[in-house]
Amino acid sequence: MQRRGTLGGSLVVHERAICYRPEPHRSAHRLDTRSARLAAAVASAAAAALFAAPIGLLLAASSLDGYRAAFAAVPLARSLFNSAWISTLAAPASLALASMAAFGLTQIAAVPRRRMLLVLLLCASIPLTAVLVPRFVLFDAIGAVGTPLPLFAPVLVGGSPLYCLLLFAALRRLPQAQIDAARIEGLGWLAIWWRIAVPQTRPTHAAVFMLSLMAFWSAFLEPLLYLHREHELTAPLMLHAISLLGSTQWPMLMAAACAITLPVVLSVAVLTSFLHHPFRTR
Amino acid sequence: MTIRPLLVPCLIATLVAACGRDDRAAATTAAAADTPVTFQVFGDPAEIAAYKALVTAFEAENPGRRVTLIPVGKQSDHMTKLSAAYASGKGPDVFVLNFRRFGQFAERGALEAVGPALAARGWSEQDYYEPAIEAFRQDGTLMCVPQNVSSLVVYYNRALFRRFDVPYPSPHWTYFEFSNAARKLTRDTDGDGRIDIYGVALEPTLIRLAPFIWSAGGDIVNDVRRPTMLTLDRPDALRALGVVRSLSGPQGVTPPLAAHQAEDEDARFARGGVAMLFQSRRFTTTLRARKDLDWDVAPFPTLRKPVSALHADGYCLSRNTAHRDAALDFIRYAVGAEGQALMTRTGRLVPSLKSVAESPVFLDPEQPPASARVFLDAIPLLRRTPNIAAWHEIESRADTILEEWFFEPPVGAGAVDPDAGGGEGMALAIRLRDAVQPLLLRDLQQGKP
Repeated sequence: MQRRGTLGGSLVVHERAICYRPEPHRSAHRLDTRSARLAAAVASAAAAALFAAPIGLLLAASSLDGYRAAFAAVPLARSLFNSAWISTLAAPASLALASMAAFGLTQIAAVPRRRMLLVLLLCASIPLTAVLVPRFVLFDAIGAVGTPLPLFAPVLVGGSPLYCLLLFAALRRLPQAQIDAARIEGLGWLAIWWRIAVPQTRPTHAAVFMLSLMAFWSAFLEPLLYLHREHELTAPLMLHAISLLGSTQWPMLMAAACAITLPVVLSVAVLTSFLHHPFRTR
Repeated sequence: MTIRPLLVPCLIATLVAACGRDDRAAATTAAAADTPVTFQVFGDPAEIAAYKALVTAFEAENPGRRVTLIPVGKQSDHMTKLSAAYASGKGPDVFVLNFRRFGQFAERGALEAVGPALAARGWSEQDYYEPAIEAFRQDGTLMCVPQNVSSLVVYYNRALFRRFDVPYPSPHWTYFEFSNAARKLTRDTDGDGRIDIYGVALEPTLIRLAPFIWSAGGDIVNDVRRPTMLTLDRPDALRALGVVRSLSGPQGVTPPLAAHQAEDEDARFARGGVAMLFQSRRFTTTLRARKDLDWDVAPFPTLRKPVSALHADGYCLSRNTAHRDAALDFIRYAVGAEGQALMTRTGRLVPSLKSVAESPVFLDPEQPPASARVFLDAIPLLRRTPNIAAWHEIESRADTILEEWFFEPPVGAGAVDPDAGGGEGMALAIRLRDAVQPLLLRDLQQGKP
């Protein structure tokens, strides 16, 4: 069955679905399309003119020597492994803690919530260098210097106060009636958070997870201060070491930079699918 | 649940950790025999590899002694790590420091005097070059033992000198000859109105400008051991500043700001975009990797008297070390003939031990530069900047101002006339004095100049 629509298309009612079939293009539309195609062709030609020659040169002179040299100059593979396991453990843990803290904030009374938010804002505004030495002293006192333990310390505060604030902004939009109904049905706080709050704010959680992952992956100062032995060092420190080989070692430096960037790019590519709103993808 | 029960122990732990370093060091002495000496160094991967070989060789020669290498890349990161560690009272046992930065540790009592301790074991400082030894003295006591004694020299591209028919620098060349060569080597090779090859590249920092000032008969400070004021406003120093400014000003033989920011000067030299470059020994290894480049080194050009600037790093010992004997053994090995030879083979340093410096290990005829002896000939002429605690901060402040001044387009004839000595040079000297004087006074008021 077909029904004419106001936009020139038609609604086609099949047995199990209703879908919209657009009207064939009118002449003006066709003109626009031609212009667009022409513009695209000109842009493509310009881009080709600009980039074809360098790309040709790059391809002609390309080799994997830079990668070989980078992995031979420093223990890059080991450092990538170190960064990977630290980030893989720390990022989900910090997301979980930040999310639980943010959910907790949405459920407490207004006055203490405002106070807690103020504390979070204050924490977010403290520069890292201001707490560098006290933190080092503290970790040294508990014998954690020289181990990866201090690198996981941000997990205890959800990675960053900013993550808590972002998640709080998303979670506070959930209808309180849902939460109350779940409580009446006998669901515990942890189950409500996991089964009701998190699924409805999945894009925010995915975004915060990406931020957290990148922060742990690219952390420089903490590994520099707390890790000592070469086999413990993380990838950003190794990239830094390669950069010291001199400004004439660009192939090696770029190869190492690619090797370090690629895991993050792949992770973000995978996580991007979670950025869509859950109700739109179903 | 309240957090107070957790907060109080945490604060107490912090206070105890911050206050009790001596007690803790004493307490750990008993367990020290089982733990290795920690040795923190900075450097690129090739230098770190040489330090690893040094540690391995030491351990092989001294059974029972163990050393843990803590490698850090940049010197600034090395200083950050050291500062944080010393704030908690737990730095590495042995570490490498540049003499321009060693003051901030020496004046806070963080260092054990290595010189007297090694002398008691039969080590003689007479075997080492005096300028490097002197740079690590504090009130006459040798605090750290120098590893190297480098100087500022001119790296030059021999192929470009030949191509433009410019004679190679002589061992006693003057600033006049240098300046002429720089002008002849500055070329627009493709005729598009833009310079393709610059005559010389110079990093506009205080440590690079210092030998110009000394060579002109001036000084940076009134007393290198106990400086209380900058002396860049004196006529000789102003003349030197004018000379340096003329390179980027009317002569236009140095890359301008845009070119300087677009490409590193080392990379520009390595690809043949600049004919001469002021650099220390460290650059040698980078150039040795460029087999297609024909290069050599020349001494610093003389304005009025021959001079160069000292670059030296030394092995220092933490006062709180629990491995004093083992650490001293390691330092002695590192600055001994075998240790120095191992490090010299990287090509990055001029050894501070005379016997190694005069040996084929350093003067290897198979390896460029052909005029490696230039580094040794410069040693008697070396002068140094102060090694007070604030000096690194002073240099940082001064370098920002100097860069702005060096790359600023010339505004008046007096500013760029080497013999005028006034104008922009005086304005720069006053600006530097105002920026730096509070730091010098701070050290003076603390009674630790």
